[in-house]
Amino acid sequence: MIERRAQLVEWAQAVIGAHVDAAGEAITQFCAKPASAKRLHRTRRRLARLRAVLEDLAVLAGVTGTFSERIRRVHKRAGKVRDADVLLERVESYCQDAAGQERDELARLRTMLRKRAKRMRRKLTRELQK
Amino acid sequence: MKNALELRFASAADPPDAQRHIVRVRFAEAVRKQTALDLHDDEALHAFRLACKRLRFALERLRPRAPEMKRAQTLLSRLTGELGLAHDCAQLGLLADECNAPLVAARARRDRDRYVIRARRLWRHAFRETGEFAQLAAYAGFTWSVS
Repeated sequence: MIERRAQLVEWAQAVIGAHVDAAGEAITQFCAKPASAKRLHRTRRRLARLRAVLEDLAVLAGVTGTFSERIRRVHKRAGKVRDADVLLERVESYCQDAAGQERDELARLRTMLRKRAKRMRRKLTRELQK
Repeated sequence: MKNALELRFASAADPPDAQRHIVRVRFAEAVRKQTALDLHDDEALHAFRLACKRLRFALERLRPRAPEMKRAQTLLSRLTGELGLAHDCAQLGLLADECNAPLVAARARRDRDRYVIRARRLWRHAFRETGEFAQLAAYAGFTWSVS
């Protein structure tokens, strides 16, 4: 019984470890070039998988809540950058066939989202360098 | 609502058993939240999307040893894609409201509804007898009947 449990714990730790390594590698690459949308996307994807694996196996593997909480926070920050980028893209696509009042509304939103995207990117980089 | 259910592995004998337990719980979680597809509640829809993502990631980890899960995984990837677009539109709608941009808000909400319709179609299609979830259900030990 104890042996069986130990085998499960070892397996859970190995699965989490592999995801930690993958996310760490993506974060290192992103920090070297924070303006890269591709690197941000990869970081976010790997953090999402790490977060999911922690939700599934952290208790079994004995991972501390502090670590899971930190990953959750960083993933959320990365999500905010992505949200601003994606909303900006959508606003720009709406601009292509908008006219009159709608065009004015979109111009205001675009200015706001550009500022937001920059601010969020700065915050994420700071968080990752902590 | 968005948080994942905590898993216990008291009855898992080995890693494959534990993996099956994870898939079973995450599938049940997604099924339980599926009503969001019929409500006009963005928060519930977001929670459903996150549950589908958790299931998708669980299948992704399982797949090297269970290639028959590919169909379910692909379906979940498309579904979460549609739900992600719906979420983006809902966010844009809110932002447009805050910025007093009613035309953009209305357009974003129309788009949101379109993506939800597409997601609903994908989800329901997967539950047909030969649908994308057939293998997943067999693996998880789920059965259902349509009346």
